[in-house]
Amino acid sequence: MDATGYLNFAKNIFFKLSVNISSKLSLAGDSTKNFFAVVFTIKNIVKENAVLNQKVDELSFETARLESAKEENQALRKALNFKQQSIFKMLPVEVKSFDPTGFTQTVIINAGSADGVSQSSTVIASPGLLVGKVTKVYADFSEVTLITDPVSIVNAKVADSNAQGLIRGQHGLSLLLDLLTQNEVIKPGDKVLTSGLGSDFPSDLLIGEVSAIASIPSQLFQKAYITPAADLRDLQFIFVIK
Amino acid sequence: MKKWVINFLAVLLLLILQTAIFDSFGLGQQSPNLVLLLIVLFAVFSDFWQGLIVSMIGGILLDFSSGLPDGLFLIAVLLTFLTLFMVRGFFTTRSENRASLIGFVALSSVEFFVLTLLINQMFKLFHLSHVFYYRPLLFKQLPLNLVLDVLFIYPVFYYYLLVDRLADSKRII
Repeated sequence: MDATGYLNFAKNIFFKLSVNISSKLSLAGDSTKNFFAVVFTIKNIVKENAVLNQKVDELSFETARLESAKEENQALRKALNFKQQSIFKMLPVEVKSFDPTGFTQTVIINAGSADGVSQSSTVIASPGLLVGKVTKVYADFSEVTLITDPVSIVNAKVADSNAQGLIRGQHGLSLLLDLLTQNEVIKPGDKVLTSGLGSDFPSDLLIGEVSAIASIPSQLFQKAYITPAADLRDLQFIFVIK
Repeated sequence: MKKWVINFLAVLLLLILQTAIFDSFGLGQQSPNLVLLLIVLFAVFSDFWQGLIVSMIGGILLDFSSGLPDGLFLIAVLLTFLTLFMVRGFFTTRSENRASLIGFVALSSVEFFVLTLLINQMFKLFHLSHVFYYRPLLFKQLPLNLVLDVLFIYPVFYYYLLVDRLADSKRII
């Protein structure tokens, strides 16, 4: 019945009722948690602030450098008559709840077919971090499967070496970059982006960073463990690419 | 009629609490299955038909809120309820109630978990199954769920007593 969609109406009503109440309870829970968190971590906040300020300066420099590279890239594309890269049309949405059973890595968002969301739409966190894909659409809500779910498969490339592979979710723990040939040179810290192959996800969305490599020379392929760039355990406001 | 409405709202409220509260307190997706605990209590303390209907309500609501194919949790919950109902006949003396209740919770948690994985395999025949990585599920999630379920059985028990009083239903024990 799930596959045919006969339950969609009932599910839409269930989500309308449950997410409104649970989001209010969640806010109360978050306030309580934040109060106690500040009390216990106030000493670390000053140190963390200094580190973050330095990070902001480094990222500002990187942003400026990338802006310059982007302008150069666009000029070159124009010169070569390439199709202009389209800017994504994004719908901001709010995450209302996670799967309470823990068997899947899915979230419910407060936008559905009435808002123009369609199945298999890509979902990102600002600014361009891949979060997942819309798997079920109801009238006012949608279900998003995160990239950490084992059912998620993403065509990926490593930014520096351009090594191509497949990202598979590891049940919320991390991501596994598989099917990398042994001659590809990758190292911890390398950024992993979507390759755009298979047209499942737009290209050049940041997936994460290589944290560890599992390479056995006797095997055909090597694997790498990827830490997701988006904080998938603390999602609140995300975007659906229309 | 009043009894069924109260039972439905009780299960719905418990599921909403499970989704909202445990998400805030950093347990992430590891939370006790409060709906399952309520069903265990109905299996142990209530009559067959009331427990069965509450199990069906709980299973359907779990199916709606999870990303798994509909019907998977409904079947798992019903089978868990039926097993518990059959087994409870062996543990009826008052002196054994606390230990046997914890035993029921542990048994139901493990059984529900295993049944979910097995029924997912059956759903493969209809191309409706989800992909699971069994190792983190069996060696991390299951033990954590078991511990959380046992810890939260008594708060849910008092919740059950409140629901029972409101519904004004007949209790077996």
